[in-house]
Amino acid sequence: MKWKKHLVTRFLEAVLNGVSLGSLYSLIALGFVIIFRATGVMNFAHSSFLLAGAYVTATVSAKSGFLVGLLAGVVTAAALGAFTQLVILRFSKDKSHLGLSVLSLGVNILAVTEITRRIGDNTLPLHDPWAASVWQFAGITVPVSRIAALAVAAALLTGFLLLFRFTRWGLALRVSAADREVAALVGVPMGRVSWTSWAIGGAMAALAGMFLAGFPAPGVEPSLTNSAMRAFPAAVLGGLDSIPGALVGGLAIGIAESVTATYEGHLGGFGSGASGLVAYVVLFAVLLLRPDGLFGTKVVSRV
Amino acid sequence: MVLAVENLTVRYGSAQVINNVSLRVERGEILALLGNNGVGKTTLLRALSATLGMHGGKAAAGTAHHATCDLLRANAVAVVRSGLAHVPEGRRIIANLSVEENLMAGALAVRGAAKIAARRATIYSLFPVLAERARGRAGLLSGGEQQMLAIGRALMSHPSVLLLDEPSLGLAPLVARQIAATVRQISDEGMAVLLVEQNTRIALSVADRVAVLGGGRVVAQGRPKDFADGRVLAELSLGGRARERS
Repeated sequence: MKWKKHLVTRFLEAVLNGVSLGSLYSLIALGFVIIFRATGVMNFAHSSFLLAGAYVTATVSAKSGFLVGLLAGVVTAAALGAFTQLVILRFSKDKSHLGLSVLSLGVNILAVTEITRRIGDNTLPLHDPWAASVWQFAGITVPVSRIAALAVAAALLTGFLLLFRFTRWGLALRVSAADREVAALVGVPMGRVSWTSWAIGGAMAALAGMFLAGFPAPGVEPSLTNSAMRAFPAAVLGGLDSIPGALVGGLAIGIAESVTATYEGHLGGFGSGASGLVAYVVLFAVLLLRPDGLFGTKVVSRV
Repeated sequence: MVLAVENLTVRYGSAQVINNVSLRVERGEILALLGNNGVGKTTLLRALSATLGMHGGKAAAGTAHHATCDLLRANAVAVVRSGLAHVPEGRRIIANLSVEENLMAGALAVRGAAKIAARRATIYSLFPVLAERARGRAGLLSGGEQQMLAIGRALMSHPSVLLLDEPSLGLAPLVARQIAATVRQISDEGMAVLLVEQNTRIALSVADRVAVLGGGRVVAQGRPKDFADGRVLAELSLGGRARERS
């Protein structure tokens, strides 16, 4: 009977880690969705916001302590988001959503290249208070960093949903997303809604980046952008413009990745590294079978 | 005088849609703007609410003022804050928000929670059916209720000028007349209303003055009784609708 219990705890560990990882993907995807709803732009610079936040968190926390570092990282990423909207996208001659999305891709290339140059071959440690400690209960072993990630992400996501639903800022965002002309007619300050959305998206990406760089990951390195990219399939799975979709999509991708990572050893030679692929398998499947995602607005067009 | 448009010319690219139009609307007055489809009525309203640019249009000449606000130069937020509200064609309520959320959207440019709550109460007393449906989805309202919601949303910003684009569109005659009566009531309380209508009979029944737009120009102005004989409007190329109704 012993191996059976082991099987159960192993599965529970995989799911718990997946929920925690997924909550981080949800945070990233939510920022992505907020920017998309407020401005119609697919923000391909999102992974650079995440990397910038994590990089500043690591460098500042080395000197001034973790909390100051984290604050600096979040502020930097928020500023980078606001900067992208206020200084780059706002002055683009091409105002089409496609043109602006491509511009954000350019921002991403520039920012990631610069941060990669600064990091070089190093892996920057985070100096986070939980470091590599683990919790054990009922035979399940989970890193404390994952528990902290889940708690912070859950608090942020809940707080954000409340803001979105019950504040004027949230209403302005929902009206802008639904009908830009009506938003103008009722006097929504569209410029302010845009750049605050970019800043909030950046801040959430920075927080998620900090946790993604923490244990069991070794620290901040350029490959962190790969994790940020997983949030894109999460957002597509949820439906790109749906807030609950971003939450569910993030969790689903996180759990799928974690469960695959736990069992990929059983898949033979084919399996090693399958956990890095699974998000994109989901992305392909969603785009082929259900392009509007789980909760997205159906695009109806007349021919 | 509340709203004054002088020699306004509007272009979409090289196409001139509004040509040297001058209009005035006073406090407590309804000016009905009549004319065929495509003569530029909606364009004129967009020019006044700073939403022309979203449709690729541009005010090429002339002026438009409301109180001290230069409507052609101000942005949409400043226009709303100056006290001008525009109820767009097709109502454009946001279907997946609740009735109350749609209404509160109209107050996004207003500061002060107490002021907004008082305003909402006023609008619920003007349109009691909206109060009954406050928590329901706006998309589930009937056409007439949606039009009431669109007007209510515009009134949330406490305007002194109301631009109404085709409020009777797609409504049963009885409902359209109810809406018209409400508009008359709002105007009698001091609002200046610029009413664009295809339904000339309803427009003539509530308006204080009438302007007829043809080919981007004002081709006739007068009192509703001057146009009571349907042939007058028909001659002004207002088309079949006026003739049918005569």
